[in-house]
Formats: sequence, structure tokens, C-alpha cells
Amino acid sequence: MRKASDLEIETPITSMIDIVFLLIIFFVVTSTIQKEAIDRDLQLAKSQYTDPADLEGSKVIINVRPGPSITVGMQRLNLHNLKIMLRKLKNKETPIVIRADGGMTYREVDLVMAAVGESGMTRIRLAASAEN
Amino acid sequence: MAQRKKNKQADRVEVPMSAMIDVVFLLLVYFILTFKIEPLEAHMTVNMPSPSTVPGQPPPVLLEVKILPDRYVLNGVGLTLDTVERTIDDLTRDDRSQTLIIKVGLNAKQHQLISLLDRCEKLDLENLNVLTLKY
Repeated sequence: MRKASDLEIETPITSMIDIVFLLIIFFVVTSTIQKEAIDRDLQLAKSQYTDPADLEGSKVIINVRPGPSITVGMQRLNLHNLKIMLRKLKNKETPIVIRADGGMTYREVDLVMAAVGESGMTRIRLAASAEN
Repeated sequence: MAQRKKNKQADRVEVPMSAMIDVVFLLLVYFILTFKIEPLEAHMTVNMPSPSTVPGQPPPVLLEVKILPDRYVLNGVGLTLDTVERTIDDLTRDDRSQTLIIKVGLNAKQHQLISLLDRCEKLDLENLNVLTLKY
């Protein structure tokens, strides 16, 4: 009689834990891909007087490392592919943020800026670190 | 009989907490690991020359700063960043909407350009055009 009542209140926890594990793995995999639009290893030049910008919103963020090595949303691109990608954008007013390493020569940054300009994009922003 | 009934009720309210705590700990660890502080960034607006290859009108005489690897040149005079800022401040005091042309040498460093743009932002200058010097 008592055994029967024990069985009644038992919940299948193990299968629930399995599902929770799967959910956790899903979030781990998807969230890291979304966040890496920004290359955090880049040493941006410091700014003191410019107000911090909103990192959210629709904009194209181009990370440029010495070389120049260009990444857009974790994807490595060469200058040619960058131009093709930007030409496909319908809204030419979309802000383009160029995040170039502060120690790079302008020669390399210029290649990227010229590619952006040639693809018809008109709003270009240069990123700087606003942290003190 | 009454004692037995009490025991039965005590059994019924028991919930397996340890497994639930395990899951909650995992979630907590997940959120701690994925938490990243958003970096503070400033995005400076610049104007670029038109992509057209057709030569246009020669630009009118405007404020022009050249950035060379070791110095800034304003109207032909080599200056430090602080002096450039002060001079531009004096020259644009009446009209902050004046166009400033920044010509950057290919061997200049990116941080020199950013520092100059930052000072222009401090002075509330809006029309900043960035061109490239081909040397």
C-alpha cells in the first residue's frame, strides 16, 4: 500500500535533465557565434572626448588587423570579397564601422576604406576605444 | 493509524531537490562563463571622396591637416596634436560647421588619425573629410 503511493509522486528527473543538457549545449553553440561580430583582441586607438556609440542596431562591423586581415562576423574576407559583400547591401546608407588596430599604418586601413567607398557605401565610421 | 497517515503526507511533499540544484548550478555556470562586458566604443563619422573617377571641381581653400608618421602639418606648418587642436579651435571659433580636410599619409599610424578625429569631436567639428596622401 505504501509502495504504491511512493510510485505515484515520482517524476522522471533523468529525462528532464537530458533535455536541459541539450538546451544548454544549444545556447552555448548559438550565443558565441552571435556575439563575435567584434574582434575583442584588436587594440583600438583610445578616444577621450567622443561619446560612446551603441553597438547594437543595423550596421556592418569590419574588423581589420595588420596585414590587412579583414573579418566580418567571424568570417575572413579578402578585399575583393568584401567589395562583393558590400555591393549586395541594398541600403547604401547602412553605417559601416571600421575597427582597425591603432598600431596599424594608414596604408592598410586605406585599402579597406577605399574598398568600402568603391562599393558605394556612404556612411563610414572609424571605431576607437572609449574606455579610460 | 493517525501516525501512519502523518507519515504518508510527509512522503508526498518530498521533492528531489539535488537533481534540480545540479541543473540550476549548470545554468549558473553557463551564464557566468558567457557573460561578457560590452566594450565602450566611439564611432567617428568621416566623409569619403566620391568613388567616381571623373575629375570634379577643384575644392575651395579649406582647413587642411596632413598626418605624417611623426607630425601633423596644418597649412604647411609642422605641429604637435595639442597645437593643431588649439589652432583649429582659433580658426573655427566663429563657424564650427567649417569643413576640415584631413589628409593621411600612407605611413601614418591609425591611432594618429583617431586622436585627431577625437580632438575634432571635442571642438564639435562636424564636417571632417578624410583623404589619402599617396606618399
